[in-house]
Amino acid sequence: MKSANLIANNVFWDQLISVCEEQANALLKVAFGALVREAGDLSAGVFNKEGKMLAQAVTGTPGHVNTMAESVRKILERNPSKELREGDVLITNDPWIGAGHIFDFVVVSPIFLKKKLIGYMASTCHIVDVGGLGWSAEGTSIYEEGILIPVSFLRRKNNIQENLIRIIMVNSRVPHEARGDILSLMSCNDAGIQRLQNLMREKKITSLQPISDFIFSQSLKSMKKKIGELKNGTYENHLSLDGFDQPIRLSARMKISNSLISVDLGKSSKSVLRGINCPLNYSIAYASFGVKAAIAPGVPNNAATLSTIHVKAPSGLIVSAERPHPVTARHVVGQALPDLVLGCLYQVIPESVPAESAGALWTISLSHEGKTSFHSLNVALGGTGARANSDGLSTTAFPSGVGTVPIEIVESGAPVIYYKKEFRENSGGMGRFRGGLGQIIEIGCTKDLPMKMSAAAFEKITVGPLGRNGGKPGEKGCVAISNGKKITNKGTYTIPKGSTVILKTPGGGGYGKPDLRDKKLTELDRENQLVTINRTNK
Amino acid sequence: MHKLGVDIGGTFTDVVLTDTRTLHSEKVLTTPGAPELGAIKGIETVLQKTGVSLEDIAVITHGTTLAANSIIQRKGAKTAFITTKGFRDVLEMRYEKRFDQYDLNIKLPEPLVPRQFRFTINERCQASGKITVEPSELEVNKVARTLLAEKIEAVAIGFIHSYVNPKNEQFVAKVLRSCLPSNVTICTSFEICPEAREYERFSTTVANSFVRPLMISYLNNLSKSLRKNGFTGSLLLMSSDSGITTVNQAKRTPIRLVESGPAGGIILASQIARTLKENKVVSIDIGGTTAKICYLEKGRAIRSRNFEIARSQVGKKGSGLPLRIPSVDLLEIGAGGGSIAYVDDIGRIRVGPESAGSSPGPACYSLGGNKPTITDSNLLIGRISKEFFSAEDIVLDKILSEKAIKDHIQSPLRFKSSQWAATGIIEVAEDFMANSVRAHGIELGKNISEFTMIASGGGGGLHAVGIAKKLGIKKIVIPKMAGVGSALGFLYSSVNYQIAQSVLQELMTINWTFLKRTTKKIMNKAMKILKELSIPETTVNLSIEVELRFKGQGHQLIIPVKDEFQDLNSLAKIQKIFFQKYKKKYGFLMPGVPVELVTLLVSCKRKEAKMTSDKAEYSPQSSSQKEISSPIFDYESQGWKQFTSIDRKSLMVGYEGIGPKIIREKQTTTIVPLGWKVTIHKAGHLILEKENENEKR
Repeated sequence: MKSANLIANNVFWDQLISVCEEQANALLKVAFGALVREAGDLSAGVFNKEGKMLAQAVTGTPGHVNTMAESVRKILERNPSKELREGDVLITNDPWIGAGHIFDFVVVSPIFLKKKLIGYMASTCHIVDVGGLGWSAEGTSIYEEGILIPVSFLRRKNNIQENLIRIIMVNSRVPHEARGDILSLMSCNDAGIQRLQNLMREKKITSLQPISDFIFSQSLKSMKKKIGELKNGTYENHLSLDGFDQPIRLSARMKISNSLISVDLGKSSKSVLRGINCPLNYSIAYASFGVKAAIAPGVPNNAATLSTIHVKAPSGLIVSAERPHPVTARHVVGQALPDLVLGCLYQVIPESVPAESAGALWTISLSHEGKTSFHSLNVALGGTGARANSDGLSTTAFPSGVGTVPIEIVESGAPVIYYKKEFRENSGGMGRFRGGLGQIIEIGCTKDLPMKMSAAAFEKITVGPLGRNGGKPGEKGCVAISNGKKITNKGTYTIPKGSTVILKTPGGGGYGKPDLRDKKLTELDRENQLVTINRTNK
Repeated sequence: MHKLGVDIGGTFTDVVLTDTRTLHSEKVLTTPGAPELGAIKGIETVLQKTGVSLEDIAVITHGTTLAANSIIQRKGAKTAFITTKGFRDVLEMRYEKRFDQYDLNIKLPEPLVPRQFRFTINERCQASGKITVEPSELEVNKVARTLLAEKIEAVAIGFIHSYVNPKNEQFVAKVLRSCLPSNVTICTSFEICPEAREYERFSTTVANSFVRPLMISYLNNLSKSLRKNGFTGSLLLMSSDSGITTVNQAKRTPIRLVESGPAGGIILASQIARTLKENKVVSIDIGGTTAKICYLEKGRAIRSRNFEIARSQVGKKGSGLPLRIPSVDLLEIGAGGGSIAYVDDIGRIRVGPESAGSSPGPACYSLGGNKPTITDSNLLIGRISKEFFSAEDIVLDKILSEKAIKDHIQSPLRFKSSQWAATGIIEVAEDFMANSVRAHGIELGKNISEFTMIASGGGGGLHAVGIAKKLGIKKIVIPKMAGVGSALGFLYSSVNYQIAQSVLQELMTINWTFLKRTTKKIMNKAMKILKELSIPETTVNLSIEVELRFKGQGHQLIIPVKDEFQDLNSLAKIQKIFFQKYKKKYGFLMPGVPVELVTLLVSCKRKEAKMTSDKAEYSPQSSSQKEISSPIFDYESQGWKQFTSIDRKSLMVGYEGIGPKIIREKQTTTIVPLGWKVTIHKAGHLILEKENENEKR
């Protein structure tokens, strides 16, 4: 390639990523859901004419970004590009097209330049409520989980389809916020498109084809090189989850050969009639995230990068559930997959693979319906697994990219009160490096009202995250109501008037044998009361 | 009347003296152990040279990196944090988010107070301000005994929801005060930062306590030394928001001084903007390790209250400690002359954030560095000349630059020459800077191409046009005397103090008496500060603003309150303006969603800042204007091109030239490519303008 072209392509690629960042930031500003604006539950990306992802905002959470990589193509299958006009915008929350459950809306806007369609902008975010059972894993089919919008026009030739928005609003418990968030997605795409058009005009470029070719060939080459450095072979790993009320087995068989990685999830449990099933697109998103973070963290995410990691499973499993299976809390399974595939990679590159983490976000959904109805949504996070050269991170999301909503913001939004939110001492798995700590959260209601709580995402309360290389497991999670009732399945519970709920999130697994731990670190842990009992042999 | 500006930086202490006409500057080495010594030395030197005595100085305006460095190096007071029972770990839990999605090995910032010195007290206030548990004196006494036993030097108190009701914090502070020796600092979160979001508020309060003992003793020493040397004028301190404050106020909230140096630089930019009557300005200061970007409108820097210090990874949001203090809205990115270029996993050129710093420095310094930097690239393609390099004892070696670029960039990417590889490095770096300028502008809702760019720092003139072109910017200013920019800026500073108070109530159903009372309270607080500064109220604007949003959103718009909440009607007026602004910015409204008043802001600003040194006319120092032809490898011409090289010192006011030109001076080099013209403003600044645009006008 000519030197001048090499530089130009390099620069244009960076600019595409920057366009996506701006797009995501625009969304962050106007979004309503606290999880979106405070914790960052969103993503944005730019796609070429064939619907292949060229670049994404680095802020995006994997469950959105990596599913979106496929969404655009699927949306175009249902709504062919030749029918699209300037000013059109498409929308859907179909779990099998979008991000795995009906709460996530994907909005796709075609990009036109000189009247020619040249690519797409897409963005995804979580919308607080779309009707049905709301946040609950108790639905036995998708029909109970809320309103599903098939691929539809949100805007047709610059006319917003208010009827469609009204249908969503009338079905939602928070209609205005739902409307606001959907329009925000649309306007953040508009902003991205305008930026890209200006950029291309300045550069006098009329097509995204050359840059696509450059991005894809560079990415493919470097991914293949990274994978090529790994020892060929087949590696297996299994993992057990609590499930709704009985254990689920997740199983991976990873084959590394010819600079490609394939992951077969085929021996995992069958899908169930509760909302913890995971559509295959969401499973692919997280399984490939786990692989990529371990082997090629520096390679930007795009269609070519993702094409080197092939994740498959026959339909009908918990990792590849089909309609009409319920999928609300699909992240319980999906977010366990990085640890599953990392367990395979541990057999190849043990130094680059952390011990198991607390995994799925614990969604804390508290509500009261009636005259003084309210709904409070937050997440509780556990510890991440220890690394080969450092301790795990305490109370930090992994593999999800979101964070938590501040207590003062949660308490200002609903009559809930946190009595405690503090490190859970002794919960990190011991090892040469210690797993991150989980936390203890205690929540009540400031009004004399009972609250409904969904336990849909309280996972790892039967088995704690495992250690690696001789490291001990992190403490398993535990949820109880102050009246003595223990949470044993993922159903819906009532917190009676005056009672509280006490959540103890799991700690991360340890890495390396505990007796190899640096004495200074052990001493620090003791001084800071992170470890208060002698747990080296536990 | 004489004024002094004194800026203590990490390496150098700059002193600038002015009467109404002339400017004199001095650079001395910073004395880290006792920074006041370096300052005194610098002051003495400049006074000696000019024959002015310290008694003649009316005002000294001072800024220092001392507070910032103490946090960055974690060298502050032994600090304890006292918080609500059940919330011991807020400081260490942070946002509970990874600041990099794909890096499995990230390191989180260490909290300023380790867990063993974080204590809890049984107390609670609800979101409404209702206190449900009052702290017991007995329990506080018990904590106090531990603090004494541990020889704690500073205490921060932060309770949940104290921004609505500070009673419990105040009580605990009072009890502790009576138990602890008087030299132990005690700060409450309500006083330091009365805003919602516990992590940010606590982090700010703790940082204030952490630096306070050090800052108090430093400020005392400095005042003492100055008085001893005969100084009778007033000593003022520069805050991060580019306003001045008194020594007493600085001792109470030293955390507000952390960014005083950069704030000084921004004041200089505002001053230039006003002199040139430029309403829309973006300032970019390209230094050795980072570049700092700030937007200014009508001669005033845009300000914010979201600031992050001591990032573990340069330019990575979330990797540092948050401080909610008023500051100039400065975006700092990891790209400067010393930024190292490399080829990443996928064959792309990357530049920074890692920097070669001053040791070993760029490869061309011959100090052992072998990695290619931006400076190496500029040297190799002829944009920097070694005769004009500012550091005296370093001789630049082009051969070392070429080798570094060849080894790390040219060979792996198969560029046809090292010059092409160097050009690639510069393009990528300038693109990164341009993207950052644009992203920051978009976040602020600005149309960047309408802005004039003020480019300062060692790399300002080198990269200004490259960046401007990518942004559609058509006018650039390269200021004179940019080398002591911060200290110089201090001389132009004026009062600018802001108090923010969280409210979090729906606008139309707000508790009216609460609003009136709170407004009055913070107005009085602001008046008190003005009084301390001995600034007559008539010369200051006291303004009220509110931050509004649709309830449920996280981002707010600032709306001015013109009538000081005279009657209930003013709420409707404010709401109307909010709707207009929102619609304009985002294109749609949210019918049915109530508007929420998030924060009440009271600011005092000087009505009109009159600039003394404007009268100072620039005159060239050397009259002989020598023009030499100098070859530069030019990306657009795809090869070597002859530029006319001129010494900036020789240029007269009124000079006009057209590109390709290269204007050299000690502190920086300015590139004027083909299609751009350059003039000298009467104040001595270089003005670069895109040519054809200019002809159309």
